[in-house]
Amino acid sequence: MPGVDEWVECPLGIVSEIFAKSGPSQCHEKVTEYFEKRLKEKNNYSLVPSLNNVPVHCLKPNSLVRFRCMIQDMFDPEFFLGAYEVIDFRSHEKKLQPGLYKDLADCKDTEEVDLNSPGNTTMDRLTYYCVSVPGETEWVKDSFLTYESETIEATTSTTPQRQKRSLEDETEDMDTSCSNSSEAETKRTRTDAMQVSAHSSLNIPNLNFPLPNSQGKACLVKLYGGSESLKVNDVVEVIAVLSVEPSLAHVSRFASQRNEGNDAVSIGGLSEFESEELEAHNPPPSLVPRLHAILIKPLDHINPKLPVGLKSSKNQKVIQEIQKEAATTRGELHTILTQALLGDSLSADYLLCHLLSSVYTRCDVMALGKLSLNLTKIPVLEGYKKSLYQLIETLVTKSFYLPMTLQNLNTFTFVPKKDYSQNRLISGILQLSDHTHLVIDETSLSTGQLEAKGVQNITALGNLIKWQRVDYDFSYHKMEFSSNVASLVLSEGRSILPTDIQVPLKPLVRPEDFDEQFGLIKTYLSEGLLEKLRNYITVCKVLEFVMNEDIQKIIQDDFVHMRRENQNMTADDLHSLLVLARYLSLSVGFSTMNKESWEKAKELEKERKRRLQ
Amino acid sequence: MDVAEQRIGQVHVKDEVGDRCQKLFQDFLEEYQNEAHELKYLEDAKQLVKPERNTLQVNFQDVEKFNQNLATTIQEEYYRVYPYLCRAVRNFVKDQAQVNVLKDFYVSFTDVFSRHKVRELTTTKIGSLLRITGQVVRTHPVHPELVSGTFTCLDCQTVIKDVIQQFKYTQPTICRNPVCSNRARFMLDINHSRFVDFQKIRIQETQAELPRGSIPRSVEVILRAEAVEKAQAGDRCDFTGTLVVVPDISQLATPGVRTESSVRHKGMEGFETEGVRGLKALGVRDLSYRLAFLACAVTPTNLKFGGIDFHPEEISAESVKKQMTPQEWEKVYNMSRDKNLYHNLTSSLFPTVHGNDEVKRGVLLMLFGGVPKSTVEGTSLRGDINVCIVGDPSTAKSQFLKHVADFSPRAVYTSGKASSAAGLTAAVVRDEESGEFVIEAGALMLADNGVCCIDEFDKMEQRDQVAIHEAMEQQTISITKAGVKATLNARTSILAAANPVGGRYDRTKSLKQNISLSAPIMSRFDLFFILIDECNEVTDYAIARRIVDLHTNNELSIDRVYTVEEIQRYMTFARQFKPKINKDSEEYLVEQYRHLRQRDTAGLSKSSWRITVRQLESMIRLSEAMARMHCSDVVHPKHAKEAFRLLNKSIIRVEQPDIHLYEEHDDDGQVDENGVNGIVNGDIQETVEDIDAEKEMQPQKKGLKLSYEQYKAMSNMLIMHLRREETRIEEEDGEGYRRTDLVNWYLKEIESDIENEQELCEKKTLVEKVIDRLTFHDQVIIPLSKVGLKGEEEMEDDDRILVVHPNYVPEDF
Repeated sequence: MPGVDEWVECPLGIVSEIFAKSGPSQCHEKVTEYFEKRLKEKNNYSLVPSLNNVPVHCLKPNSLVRFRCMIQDMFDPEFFLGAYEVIDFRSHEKKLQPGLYKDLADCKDTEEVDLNSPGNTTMDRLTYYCVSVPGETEWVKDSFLTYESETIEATTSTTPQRQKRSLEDETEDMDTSCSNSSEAETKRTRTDAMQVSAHSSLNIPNLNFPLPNSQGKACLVKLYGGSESLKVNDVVEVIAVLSVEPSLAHVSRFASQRNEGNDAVSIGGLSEFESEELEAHNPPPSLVPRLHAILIKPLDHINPKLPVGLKSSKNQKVIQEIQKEAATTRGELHTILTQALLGDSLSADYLLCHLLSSVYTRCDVMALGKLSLNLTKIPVLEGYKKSLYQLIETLVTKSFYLPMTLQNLNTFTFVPKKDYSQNRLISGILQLSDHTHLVIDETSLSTGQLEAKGVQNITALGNLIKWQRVDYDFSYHKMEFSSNVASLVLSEGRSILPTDIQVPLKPLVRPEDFDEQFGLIKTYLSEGLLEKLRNYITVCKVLEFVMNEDIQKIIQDDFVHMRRENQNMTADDLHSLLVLARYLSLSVGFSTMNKESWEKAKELEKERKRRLQ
Repeated sequence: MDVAEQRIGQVHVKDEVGDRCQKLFQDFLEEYQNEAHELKYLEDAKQLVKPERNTLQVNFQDVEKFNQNLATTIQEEYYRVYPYLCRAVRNFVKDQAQVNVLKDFYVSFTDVFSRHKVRELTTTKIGSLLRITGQVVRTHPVHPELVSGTFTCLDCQTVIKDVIQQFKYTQPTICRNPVCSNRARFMLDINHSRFVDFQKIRIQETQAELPRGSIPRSVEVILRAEAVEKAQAGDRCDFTGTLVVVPDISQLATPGVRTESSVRHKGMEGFETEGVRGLKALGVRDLSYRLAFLACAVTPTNLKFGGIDFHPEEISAESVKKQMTPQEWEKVYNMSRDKNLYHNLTSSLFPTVHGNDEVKRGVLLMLFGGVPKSTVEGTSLRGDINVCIVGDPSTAKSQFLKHVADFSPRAVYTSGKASSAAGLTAAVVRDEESGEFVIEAGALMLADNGVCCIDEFDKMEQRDQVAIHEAMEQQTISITKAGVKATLNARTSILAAANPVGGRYDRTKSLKQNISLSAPIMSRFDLFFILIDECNEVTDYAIARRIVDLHTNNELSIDRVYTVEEIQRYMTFARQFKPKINKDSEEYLVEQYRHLRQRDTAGLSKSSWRITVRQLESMIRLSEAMARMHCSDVVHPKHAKEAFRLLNKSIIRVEQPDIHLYEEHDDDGQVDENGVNGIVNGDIQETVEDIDAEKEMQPQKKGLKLSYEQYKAMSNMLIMHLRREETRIEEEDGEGYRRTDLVNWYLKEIESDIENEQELCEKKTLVEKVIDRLTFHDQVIIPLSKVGLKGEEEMEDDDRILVVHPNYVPEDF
């Protein structure tokens, strides 16, 4: 077995071998090639432990790990010695070593790095600050875990015994073992959280998660080979060499100590300004491990049951299968949603379309495809909103529930802000990856004073819904970042947020009986059905869609006709109709617009307008 | 061997290239003459003797003109030859000023061609002379840096002079006294060491250079000597200098650790320093380095569109041109020659907004702006053009605003409903009836030197409108808080969008009645545009087409002649022109103004604001903007003509719509799109040509159109007469005044004006229509129907007894 797993346990050994063969300039390419091939082999993929499930201290340093994460920040590029020469000062033997995939040069006690050697090569690498995907729903986490749990035992040489330990311990001795069950994991994070409050964040740096109270991991991912195509907020999976070199923690400690001493003779050296930045950029590796990426691939979705890269030709079959069953799946989903919305079939139709919506293209300032929904007249019953959200949560892969209370508006940070003293982007709630479902609960709003921050937050929220953009605050200017977040606003009256579509809820069932309704849903939702629904939603979001000439013609004629009949029909209405018709078509498995969907969209809108009066 | 000696010797190692450069550079300083055949750098060099000066600023293009080889060497081997260049300056000063000053001199280069993006700074650029642009985001305090230290050995008191320092504190490695083997205990003799001002700042990639979706990169810039304190946080500056590698800062300043000088030759910088030693005690070798930019010159940039004005008067079209690459310049040049520029720019700027050409034109001119002026008394006249768009819901108003906000980097987009500035609060209020939440806004922030796009302008609080009012005319904003009054500059153009009162624009009412804005604020807008959502089959088709195309992702439908970047660049360039009004245009403007004034005073319109000097100013601004757009130094009559046309199209001219009488039966059509107060831009249907064409097609109906004044005059005449007759008939107890009587009376009154029969017919129809309108539309005249005589009624329909509405008060005139 050890021989087989060598590439997982000790990837650097392989890197050295490849390096010796190909030299520094080709090294990364060849390494990527090698590992790609390795991972393609049967079951090998699951041999690599995932940082999402396994605590850092259970993993062997310098082993291969996986991490599913969102790029939260991009640091400045770093320069390093891609190849360096070490001299043994006893035997005077020289040796060229690769500097890739490691933070520190490794040389034995008797060796020294020869800095003036002509063999040294400087290279640059990018550093991305990555965090666990914000808003990742529980079922996604769980099913990744169960999916992988059988294999993890083999890879992490652990004995399942769990000690309660503090953070400090973890930093000191890394290789003590522990269990990797999810239960233990949450326990650990809980103790962590307690410690954070106890230490009042003095020692523990802000890990910069976009969402408040989120538990997750953060990593510094070092990218080789200049992968410039990645953007901030992209969700990626990295396969990387884990580096938790404890001595790196000293960098920051060292800096602050030095600073306290306030060494007068430092020339152009470290000032108090820099130590802050330094600390932010070099958090202790026990908290923020360094990952030296060998492979990095963008994930178009994080549904564990579906293959990555849904649009690629090899996955056509999976998609076609789902499309074939779409009509029935839609029926099921519609029934469930109708039940959840207390028997309101119209609202269920809208909610269904909303769940499938995603920005598919942008024309200048307009984001097309978004379908933000405002469900009004939500019964003010404690628990109803929660149950509704829980239902949505079990269907989508990423979601976040935002109670729009005055306090939240006034205190939370919505918009990411660049902190120049730390030189990093302080995250905010609206830093969400694509296809996240944001559920905003406006019923929890009360009258009162909205402070400057609150006003800015509401504006930011409005911009997100209306333009699908968030203006990140760079102090001296704002910078727009596109987002693709489906927002559902629950409110009593019309929302203050500019949603596309407003539907007043018209319950057929007594709202007080909602518990019963959700109870029924729960029993109805079998594991198999759930999986079907989840896959259906994920796939519908990424499907291609076309409108052929005939239907275009019909739509145009219809619009003119409608205008003639009703003066109040506007261009915006046409937009909504088109978007609606699009999702109605997609929902039944058509990737072209058909007349029935268009007619249905018109009908829905008519019905909705009637309700609004 | 004496180690210290050796080290010093190392610095002085013969570098032939360096020596040659020193000589050539000195020649350059001694020989280079400006246009007036004076030694260009002599005066400057003499100034350097002053204690506070130490840097000679040299225009790099002069060096290029003088000796191409020298320039190339400096550019490529900048870091290597820099000390030699400084030495050349030193010698030059010594020779010329005839004094031997004991201080270091520095040279700084300006106007270096090779310009790079922050993202392009890679290891290959190390050591060569470059220029980068960035926004300063952080500045560290200035402190002295030791350039060359004099040390005293604490063991044997030997003085060791001129230990070159680089980036960090460097002690002699060993005492130069051969018998003393002290390697660690030295004392710095501050009085005999030389220092230089030193400052570190951090700059960040500018938005223009940033790839979409990336976090801007930043780079540390090291400034020395006179370059310190030139840049403040928030400024956008150009930095000239070179890239150097420094070991990651954490390892740099380890006290007491032996260090080496990093002054060596190109290709080796940084590598030989301490980077990898780091935490040697732990046996750790850190492998990372970082780049820093060692800048010798800092110049503010204003050249990106909408940038901060440092010295607006100093920026010329020439300097903008210099900032561009040849290809960029060529594009700009071609654009300026484009015959269809006006049209192409408007269509490229708003490709997704259908129609609304006049609005697009207005907004385009707003972006170009007029020329700010100041009178002899020091009153400044704004050059910014303010535009207001009033329109029905969902007529792409917000899209216009968002487009503009998107297009110009220094634009602020805000909604009047929820605008707020830092420190001010807003309240959430619940509407009792609907249960909706409403936000009551605080004040808003304005972008200095940018465009302020305010959506829902009419919803803005009164006090904010007052603030805006001030901003629009005085270009300042006053804030009174805690008893302190502060006046901030707010040189901004305002693009506002407002909804009409009651949701839809009522065309029978005046503009003023349609929006809830006070007259003073209204008059501050140079242009008003009115968007009316109108139903029209042709245009509806066009809208539908456009939207469907958008949704089918049909890129072809978007015809962009120029890209956004090209327009931005062009605009930056064009905005540097300060066109003057020539004689012809002046006459034209005066003539048009007189014309407007006359029409204003003579007309019967109850204009809410009269044509005043403000409108003349607007006209001037607009014509300047027109001239700017064509990159012209002179405002030609054609520019003024377009300005007048736009102004005429917009706002003020006629307060009331023309009256269409031929469509009397149809309640919609009383308004001529062409003449309402402003350009009644239907959602699409507004192109003047269209309407003109339409009119030509229906010449027979032309005569039935009345201007509001004519209509009013006529109706007054009729009503006065009717009133008189009413009293008369009442006295006589007659049957009542019939419609036919009225028509006949009117025709008699104007008998003298009628020349032929055809005209008589026309007039007859006209007066009948007017009476109909007064009856059915204005409801001033009430037709009396005889009760109980049903059969008769229909017959009499055309000839009823008419009375004037008892409450009607005729207009005073």
